[in-house]
Amino acid sequence: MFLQFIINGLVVGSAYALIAVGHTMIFGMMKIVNFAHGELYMLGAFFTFTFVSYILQLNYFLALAIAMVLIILFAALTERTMISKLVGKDIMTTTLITIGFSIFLQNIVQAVWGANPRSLPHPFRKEPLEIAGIFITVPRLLIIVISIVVIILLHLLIQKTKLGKAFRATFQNRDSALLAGINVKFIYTLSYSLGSFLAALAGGLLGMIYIIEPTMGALAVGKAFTIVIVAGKRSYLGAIGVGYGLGLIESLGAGYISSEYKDAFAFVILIIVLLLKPEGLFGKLRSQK
Amino acid sequence: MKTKKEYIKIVLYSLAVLFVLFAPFISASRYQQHLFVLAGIYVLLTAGINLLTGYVGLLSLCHAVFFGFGAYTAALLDTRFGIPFFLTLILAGIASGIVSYLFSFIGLRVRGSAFIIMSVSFLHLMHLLTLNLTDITQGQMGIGNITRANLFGYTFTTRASYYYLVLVVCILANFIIYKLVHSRIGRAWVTIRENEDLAKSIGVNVFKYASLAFVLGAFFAGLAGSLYAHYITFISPDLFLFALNTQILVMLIMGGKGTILGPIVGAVVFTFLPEYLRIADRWRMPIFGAILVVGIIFLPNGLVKLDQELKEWKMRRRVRKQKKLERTVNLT
Repeated sequence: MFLQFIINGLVVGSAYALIAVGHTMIFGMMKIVNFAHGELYMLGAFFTFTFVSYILQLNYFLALAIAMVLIILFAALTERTMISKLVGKDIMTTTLITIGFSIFLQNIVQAVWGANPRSLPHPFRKEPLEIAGIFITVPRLLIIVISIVVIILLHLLIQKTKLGKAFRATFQNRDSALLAGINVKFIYTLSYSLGSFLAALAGGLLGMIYIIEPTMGALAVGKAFTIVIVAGKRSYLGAIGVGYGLGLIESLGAGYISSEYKDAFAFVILIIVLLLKPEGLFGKLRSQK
Repeated sequence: MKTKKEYIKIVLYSLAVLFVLFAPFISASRYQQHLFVLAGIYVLLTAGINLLTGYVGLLSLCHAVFFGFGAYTAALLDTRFGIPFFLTLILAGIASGIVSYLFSFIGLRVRGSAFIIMSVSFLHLMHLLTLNLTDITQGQMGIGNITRANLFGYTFTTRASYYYLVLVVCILANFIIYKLVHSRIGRAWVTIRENEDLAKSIGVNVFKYASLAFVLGAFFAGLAGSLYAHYITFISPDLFLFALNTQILVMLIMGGKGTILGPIVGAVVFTFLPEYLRIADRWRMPIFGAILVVGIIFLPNGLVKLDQELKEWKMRRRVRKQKKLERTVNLT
């Protein structure tokens, strides 16, 4: 049973890591508390669902790819028209505007697709595979593998390419990056789109094993936000680690302690960390902004 | 000598007072009267959150917790122990106040984004507890058959009578808030909002004053919860939802945070507006979200500062025109 819980934890943790890295990207780069981030997770699932079941009835992977391209375009558009205007505004304004945007998106989806929960059809076998005594279904295995591959690719993009260098420079200090001739506006658009893509990918993947509904983003953004604060606001590796950690803790906690209070573990961890280390596990102490 | 503008102001205020006093007689429709009662309850909630969010400057996303906790306290005291209404009202307020005081020991240690996520998590946690502690709360089934409010042998059965009960509580609450805001305490709150380090350096006990705003806001939310429970006579864990909290915040921000009048205006306008959007049917909530986004961008100080905002717009336009003119003059 223990190994089974670990596998489940890794599946959920993969999604948490993807969403939280996206959130860190937007939060760390633009200093925007993005409450609409969970809705991108939801949109990712619904776009994929639409291409699999309604329009074209595509193969799952093709549908996922098209959905992700659309999400990136959509995110870039919202960044240019709205989110970029929020950079530098106070936290209350940005929080409320992104909450308004999330209400907007959530209810648009509800109006178009309807409120009833659905499941995303996928072409894989229902019977689980057996690998070294552990049973795992193909979709779950895929979620773990794809997430890890995407996270590694992202790491390479940020650490090894010239674009990644510009990315890191802007992340560290916006003004010096501007002085060095980096197109900061473009970097912002890119980081918002990339962050949104990561959340949407998590939605498109998890849709295979969980029910999708218009309200699914609310809890996701809460978890992502918690992970980012616990990890220390501006730490990518921290967000990945804490994301997987939270997935494992929730899965084990649901198995051995109580499944009703699964979603409460994140809060308890948040309290403990903020009491002992207010700057987060991997954060450096700086003036609170 | 009074100017024309001041006369207009006096006329508008007296019309507003007349409207508030005789609201239930304006419309005989039961639904309209129901909305008037709800507006009163929202005024209490919004005025309460205004203390922490408007004056102390901490965005609270857990105000709905204190509303729900008050409602459950009142409902349980009433259905299990048959405690009379005026006691459940006060006890609900005190219970919510105690919960907020306990939470403030954890929550008020952090600021900014960390406080926001703390408060959201607290909301989710309390929602989970209400759903799962079925022995006490009956979970998703909720608690029904709460008795109607009863004071000195008079039972508030009609909506109009209940409106006046809520109105009295609202007036008292706003009077207390007005007195506090215009005292040493209110000045301490605003100092914390504007510059916390400065507040500390001049000897303001930040935790004490911030938690006072928090607890007092929660107390009013508890009263609102009790009033709601005895009015609807049925409550469910939905009271702890994020959406309710958002609604309170919208009322506060769109009305005008950090003012006495703002929460009142915001609560009334945004109780009625969504109802009139019902003609838009299923596009109602998307439109509501869009109004929120556009409203905060263009009216960051709320409806009560509308005239100032217009003045600034005009000023900016004049400056722009002037510059354009200067440029053309320079060219020629």
